Amino acid sequence: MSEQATVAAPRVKPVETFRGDFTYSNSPEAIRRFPFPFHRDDYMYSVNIEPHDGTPPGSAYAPAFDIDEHYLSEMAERRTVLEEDPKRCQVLPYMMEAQWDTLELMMTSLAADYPEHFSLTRDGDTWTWENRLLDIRDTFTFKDADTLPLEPFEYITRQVQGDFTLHGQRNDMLYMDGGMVTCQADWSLDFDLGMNFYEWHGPVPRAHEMGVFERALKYLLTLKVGSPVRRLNWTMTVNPRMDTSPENYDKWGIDRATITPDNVGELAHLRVELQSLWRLPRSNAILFSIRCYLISMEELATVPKWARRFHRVLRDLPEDLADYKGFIGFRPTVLDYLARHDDGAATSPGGAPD
Amino acid sequence: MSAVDSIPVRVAAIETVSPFIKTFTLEPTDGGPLPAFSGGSHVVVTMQGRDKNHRNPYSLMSSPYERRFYQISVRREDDGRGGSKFLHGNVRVGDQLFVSPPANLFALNELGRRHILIAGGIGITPFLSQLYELRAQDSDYALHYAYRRADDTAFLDRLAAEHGERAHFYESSQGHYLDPGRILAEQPLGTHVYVCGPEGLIDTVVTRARRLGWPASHIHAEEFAAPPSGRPFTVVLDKSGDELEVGPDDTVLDVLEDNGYAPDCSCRGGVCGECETAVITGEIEHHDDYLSEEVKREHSRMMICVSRAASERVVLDL
Amino acid sequence: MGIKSKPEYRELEFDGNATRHVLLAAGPGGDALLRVLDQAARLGRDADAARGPLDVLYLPSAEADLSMRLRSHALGVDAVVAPDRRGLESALRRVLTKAVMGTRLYVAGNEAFVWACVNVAREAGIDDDEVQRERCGSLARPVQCVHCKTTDPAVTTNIYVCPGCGLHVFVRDHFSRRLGVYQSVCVDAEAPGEVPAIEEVYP
Ligand SMILES: Cc1cc2nc3c(=O)[nH]c(=O)nc-3n(C[C@H](O)[C@H](O)[C@H](O)COP(=O)(O)OP(=O)(O)OC[C@H]3O[C@@H](n4cnc5c(N)ncnc54)[C@H](O)[C@@H]3O)c2cc1C
Ligand code: HEM
Ligand code: FES
Repeated sequence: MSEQATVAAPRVKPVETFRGDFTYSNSPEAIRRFPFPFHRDDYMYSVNIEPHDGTPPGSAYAPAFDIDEHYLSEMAERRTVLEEDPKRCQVLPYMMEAQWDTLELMMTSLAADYPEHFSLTRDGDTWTWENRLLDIRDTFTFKDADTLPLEPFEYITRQVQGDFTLHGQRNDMLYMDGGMVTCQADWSLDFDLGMNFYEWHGPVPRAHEMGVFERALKYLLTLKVGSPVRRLNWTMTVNPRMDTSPENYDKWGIDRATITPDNVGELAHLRVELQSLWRLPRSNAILFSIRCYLISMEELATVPKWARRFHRVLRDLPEDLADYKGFIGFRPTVLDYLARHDDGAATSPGGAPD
Repeated sequence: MSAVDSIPVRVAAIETVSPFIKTFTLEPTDGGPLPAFSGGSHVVVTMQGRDKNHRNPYSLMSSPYERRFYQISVRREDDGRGGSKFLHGNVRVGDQLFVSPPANLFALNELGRRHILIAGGIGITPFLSQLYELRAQDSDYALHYAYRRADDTAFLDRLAAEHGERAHFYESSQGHYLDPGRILAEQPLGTHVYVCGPEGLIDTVVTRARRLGWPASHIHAEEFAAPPSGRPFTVVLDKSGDELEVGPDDTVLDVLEDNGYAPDCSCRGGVCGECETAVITGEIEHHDDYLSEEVKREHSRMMICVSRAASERVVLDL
Repeated sequence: MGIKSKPEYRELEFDGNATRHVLLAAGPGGDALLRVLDQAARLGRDADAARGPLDVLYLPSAEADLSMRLRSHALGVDAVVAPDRRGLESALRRVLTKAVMGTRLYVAGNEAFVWACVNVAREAGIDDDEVQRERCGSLARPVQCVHCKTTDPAVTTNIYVCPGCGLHVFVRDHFSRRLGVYQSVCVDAEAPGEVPAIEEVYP
């Protein structure tokens, strides 16, 4: 997909944790390339879709599927979540073709973007996949599921950062027909499986009335093979916790009550999802990739423009959105913290640091 | 058409199937495999004529499991805009054409338990690729193929050989007519019907299915309607005074970018709202899903990624 | 107005375009079927042939038993009265194995009943636009706890104690057609012990 040269080879850190002692943190390079989602000082829902075309070079947006320093940590976290709850990965039976499409897309993209970490050798239908980061080397027959240790979708999505969902297209509608969902912002694959585009977006406030989902769906129905698109979504999470699933809300919900003026810089995180959408060639299904990035307020504040802007966005965000996103309770504490970093200066257009 | 979405192909073979139908085999010029596709997909073929480019959609009839070449079959239409006549009369083996990546507006329903395919004439083409899938997946299906004269089509022998009792043929010049009422009666739950061919055939099949109580979600049709082609017009940029020509297949956005402008845009598909532009004078033919109906009626704004001028000139606040 | 995943129901109405009709109800839902039968009868004798076969499957409940009226309806259909939901579901499966395209399903009852029937029909190949649904009788909701996945078939309050995990869970409007349940979520996760007033909102 993307030009090889535009993707920097990530230096992958040893495993850090997204639970318990929360050892996760971002290196200065990871902060610089964080996909800060605000192009202006305010935010409202819109159909914020653009081509996922390998630009800008060197950014987190450039690779087809971004692999970064947290690769090993996120793959370890995924294994833990799946051990506790195997239903985080489910694919409906008629989606086999889409499973192979996903495997092919991911293997070819990773091998092209990160040749030092991944390689794919194809000899007819006999494929050899090598993932040097996870020390995997498997030879299998394409389209013969018995030759892989797991079903093709689960096999490959255990090796790629981000959540993934699969969507069959029927009757001018998209359906939630499968997914690997272990680092989600409070929605349940097991519950939403089988729903249509409007149903799984049911809980979102305002956007239905604004016509956002109707326009977005219309656009997605005509998505073309080879022309993926992307958008950004965001919320806030307490602690660098990947698994903020509704299933475990009874365990992590309490975190929201732990934010104080003293710890807010360290505990409160901006959570950004870089979402990309791919038409899959053989199945005509759509693959939705939800790549999650977490950055603490302390880390964010190392980029003055971001702290200023996020302060303004958060301050002016309507109540119903703050409530839906789940941070209405601790928003004042975050605002107090960020206000100290907002001198009122003008911010430059676009999301990149100055 | 932007350069990124067109794939150069070489005409590797041309087979005259009948006085009206030719089959073209297209191989990638760069030798790499062509994009995979699903049964029922079409590509947009661009042909560079002497004084005009033709861009027509054609269904892929070759196997979705074959990536070394694509095949299309084209029926000559003598009173069209000339694309099919160009393919029949001017294109030779070895010539270069361009195809878009495949897109599918006529896919089989994955949940279908039985599939009934009804083709009229050249409308057989999307089914030819779907039949590979149905057979590979061991699905329950039936093909009903109506045509005027047997010597008008060469697909008959192959279909009969490959699909045996599942294929049914109706040659109208012999007085054999397809009866949708009989085909659709007493079908098991979960059956889907797909029809492609002349408007009249599509109408009778759809009407009949509805009368038999079939729900809309189980009735699928594809008509080979000629896509609306835009009329050329002139865009005047109020601020710079520049005048730019927008051709039938260009968008205002493309033309602006080609001329060194960088207007705001994101989706390039008429949904995100980024490229909204104020119109100073001119009438707009709106193709977007963003502006409200009231605004559209006022002709005061346009989405330059998809909409066109209905007048010969349009002055934009740019 | 509820959220987009919350199902909508409407009065059953005889569909003259269908060529076979399967009518299903539990308890007070029998009234809705009587209405559909009246509409079919009003189409008159001429319509009989075109109308095609019509099956009635009924499950009496403690709330209401309309089997006699269904059996003695002027249209003279042979109503099957099932002893329990299992029995009704297997009768439905039997009817659907003989059914063909053009069949319309009419379901009336409480939400748990409606969605159990829809899911049996879906297994037989029936799609959403081949089914009409009317909610009758109790507003009790079938609810699944998102934490332990235990389903309670009839919740009448905004908050209840999940029989599976013992948490106080709140009933959302988010509904899964596949599972036939609403979703419930821990109500005091952020302030343990602070449970809002429990009220009967789905009587
Ligand atoms: C999804 C799709 C798949 C298709 N697949 C195939 C295929 O597999 N094989 C195939 O042969 N064709 C196919 N077609 C049709 C094909 O794209 C062309 O329309 C056809 O080849 C005729 O092209 P043309 O340029 O000669 O004429 P066009 O200008 O495209 O004209 C097509 C027909 O429309 C009529 N027409 C055109 N302009 C006018 C006008 N202004 N007023 C009145 N009538 C008009 C003409 O009489 C002619 O019969 C497909 C179309 C679509 C949309
Ligand atoms: C197939 C593609 C998509 C999938 C699978 C998907 C999935 C989801 C899910 C599961 C949620 C959470 C809903 C909940 O609260 O339970 C959500 C939220 C949302 N989605 Fe999508 N979505 C898709 C495409 C889009 C697109 C194209 C848009 C474009 C506008 C969009 C806009 C939103 C918005 C605005 C929210 C609310 C997010 C927030 O405020 O935090 N989605 N989506
Ligand atoms: S670029 Fe999105 S509407 Fe034009």
